[in-house]
Order: sequence, then C-alpha cells, then structure tokens
Amino acid sequence: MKDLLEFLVKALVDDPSEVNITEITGDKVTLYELRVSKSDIGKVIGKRGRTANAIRTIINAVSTKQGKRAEVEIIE
Amino acid sequence: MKSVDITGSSVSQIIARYARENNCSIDDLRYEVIDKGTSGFLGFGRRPATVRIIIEGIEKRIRTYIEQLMQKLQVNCSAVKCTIDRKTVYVEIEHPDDPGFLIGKNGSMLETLQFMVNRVFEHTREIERIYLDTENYRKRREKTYLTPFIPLIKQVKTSGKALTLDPLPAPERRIIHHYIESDSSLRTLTVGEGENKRIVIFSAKQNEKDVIKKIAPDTSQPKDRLNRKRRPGPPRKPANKTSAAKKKDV
Repeated sequence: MKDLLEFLVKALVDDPSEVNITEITGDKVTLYELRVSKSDIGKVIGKRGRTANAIRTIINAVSTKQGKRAEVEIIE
Repeated sequence: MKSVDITGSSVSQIIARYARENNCSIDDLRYEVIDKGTSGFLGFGRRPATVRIIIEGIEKRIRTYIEQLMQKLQVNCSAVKCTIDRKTVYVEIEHPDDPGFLIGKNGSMLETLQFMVNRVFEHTREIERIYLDTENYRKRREKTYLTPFIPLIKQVKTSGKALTLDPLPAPERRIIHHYIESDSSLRTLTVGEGENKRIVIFSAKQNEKDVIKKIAPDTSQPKDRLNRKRRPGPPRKPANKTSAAKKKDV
C-alpha cells in the first residue's frame, strides 16, 4: 500500500526525493502521513482538493479489496 | 526516437541527475555511453563523461506508467494498448483479472485513475488528454448515454432545422460532439458560457453564422427557464413563503 501511495505521489511532484510517507498502524485503520516539499503541496492537493481526493479514492479502494482500512493525511 | 547528449563528471552521476530531474526511475531509462570519461591523474588528462539519453515517445511513457500502476493496484492485465489520435490518447487496459474493481461503482475508479494519469502527463506538450477504458466499458456507457438523443438527432436530419440541447457538462457534450462527427451530413457547435454551454446540432448545408444568428434570440430566454428547472427545491420554497406572507399582510 505504501508502495502504491509513493508511486502515485512521486509521479505528481517535481521533487520526488522529498516525498516522505510514514505508516501508522492502528487496530482498525492504517494512517499514512504524507509529507512533500513545500512547493509541491499544491500539486498533491490539486484544485479544490481534487487530486488529494483521487489519491484517497484509489487508496481506499485498494485497501477495501484487501479487507483493510486506510486513511491518507497530507501534512504541511 | 529523440535523444539528448549530456556531459558530466561521471556516467552514473549524469544518469542519476537526469532520472531525478525527469521524474523517472533509473531502471526505466535507456541510454548509450558515448564517452566514459576519466578523472585523470592528479588533475591531468581529465575528460568529462558523455551519455546519450534516448527520450522515449509519449506513448511508451504512458504505457509504462499505466503498466506499473496496474501492477501496484494488484490488477493483472494481458496488455495495455495505446492509440494516439492527434492530441488525444486512448488507453485500453485489456482483459484485467478484476474488471469490477478497476471500473468501480458507476465507473468511479476508472474515472479517478484517468484523472490521476492526466495530472501526471499534464505538462506534456505532445498530448492534451488521456482516456482510459477497459473491457469497452466507456464505449458501452457512451452508447447507452446516446440512446435518448438519437431520435432528436434524426429529427434534425429530416427537418433540417437546427436543434439546441439543454446545457450539459463537458464530458457529456464531448460524447455528443464525437457521435455527430461520424455523420457527415450534420455538424455541431457550442453556444453559451460556463455552466450554460449548450450544443447546437445543425445540418452541414447550413452556414454556421446563420445558425448562430437564428438561435441567438431563443438562447437567452430558455436559459432562465432551465436555471429554474435545474434547481427546483431551494429557490421555490422561499418564493412561496414570501408570496404567502404577502397575502397575509394584505
């Protein structure tokens, strides 16, 4: 899952080396904290959060398929 | 096939830098080493290295991206087919093992993936838009979408009168434009701005300017009617209330 998120985000941003994802496993939900360089935040969020929503939709769909729950948080 | 020559202090350094700058992994790059270069001895006879990097066509780049994406989504497919029509790219994911997942509810997953792919290749000048399709899902859906419009379109053909449709969102307008394009006796144009863009279907014999002139007076009126139709709930209620309140006052 982390691999997929990294792949999606790295393709979007200008500076892939600054992409940093931390995985926090809870009892029910796995939380992914996404950090990107300051100049790339806009690209990850997108117009009215469309890109961020798209990333969440994909991650949610894949985790549901695996019988898990995942949440993505973009951290400034 | 295009290529660029880059000079730098060492082969590995050039490749790593190029990969970083162009958002791709080192394994995906194709290159030829032209000059390995030497660091020389005590600064004497130093020669920079030169690497020719082969820039792959946009089609190949989109295909590798989608193949990787499918692999990461854990969807196996037999092939990813790319066809380019002017600046539009149509990508067909053939025989996925889990089409239901790939399409999603009402095509939401396919739509989301398409959005992501479009964002990734947004700044590529060679292409404007990428459409994803699998198992002919989009084609089937377009067909069902078009069925109520077909009698209307036939009417234009027989009567020769221009027809103005209700305002539609861009992807739906595209389906209609695309469908009419295949019919040489008909043509389309768009009138209106923003949310109120409407398609006008007219006979190919008619002049575009005449059609616009003819429909110009009617478009301003139905616009209001349609706005009211679109939002029947909230605007009406307060109107009723105020009219009722007014009656009470009288």
